[in-house]
Amino acid sequence: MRIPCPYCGWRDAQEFAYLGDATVERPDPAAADAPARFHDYVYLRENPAGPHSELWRHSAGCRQWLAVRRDTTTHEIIAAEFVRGRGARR
Amino acid sequence: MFDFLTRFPPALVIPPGRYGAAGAGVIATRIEGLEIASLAAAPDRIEELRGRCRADFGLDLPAGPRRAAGEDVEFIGVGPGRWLALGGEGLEERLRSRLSPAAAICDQSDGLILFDLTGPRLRDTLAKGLAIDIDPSVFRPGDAATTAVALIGVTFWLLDEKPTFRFAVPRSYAPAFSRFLVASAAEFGCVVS
Ligand SMILES: [Zn+2]
Repeated sequence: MRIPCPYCGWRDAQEFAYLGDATVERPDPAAADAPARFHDYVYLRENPAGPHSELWRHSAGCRQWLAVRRDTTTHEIIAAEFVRGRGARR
Repeated sequence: MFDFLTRFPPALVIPPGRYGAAGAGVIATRIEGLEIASLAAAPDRIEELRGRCRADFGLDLPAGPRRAAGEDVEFIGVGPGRWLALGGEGLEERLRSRLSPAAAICDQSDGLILFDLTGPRLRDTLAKGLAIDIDPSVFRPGDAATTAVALIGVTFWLLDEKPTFRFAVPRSYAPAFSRFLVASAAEFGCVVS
């Protein structure tokens, strides 16, 4: 499997460190139900057969975090973009 | 075939000499006398940094993994907003006086070892450890890459079509890198100078 890094170009997946699901969002720790929300945030994951958004770090290349859209059934990489700056664009 | 490697302490770079088959399929030369510094653009000041490099060094900072050379300094793109700078004595101070605070500058001269690699069988040799395409049709002079060779993290760039590749290797990994190189080039004849 190869991942198209926006800076480095196509690279073997071995150059990347996998973190996991890019769709979960850290809950507000001040919320009344924070313990239950954090339980879900830490432990509960969808396990989709098909396109999935994941965090990968190009640890042997440009050292940047990428949000990668990958089809879990075929390993097709649909998109890859830097995580940095994503918050500002959303 | 690689019994000769056992003659050398694994913690030291392979010394100058001729290794393996007769001939010079690969020639490796350690480069000394160049200072190295890392350059990281300060948040939101990358355009200011580009302007200063243009004014003071007469070059455009590469926006991708490429090399840009000016007078007594060159920059290699290693990541978004990050470069390696190489130059003569006093490099860090020269960069700091002209580019700070638009960039964070940190001396790396003791941290990285430079090797120039060339020879008619160099690409065949590197193919044993690299997972990226360095064919002359796609990796041109001025192109650079930060990747792993034989699982050792390196940054390298192509200086000319000869081809001469310059490798920057972390100091503590330089012995392992030199052993990979000499063992992989032995079938073509390897000269370390
Ligand atoms: Zn990268």
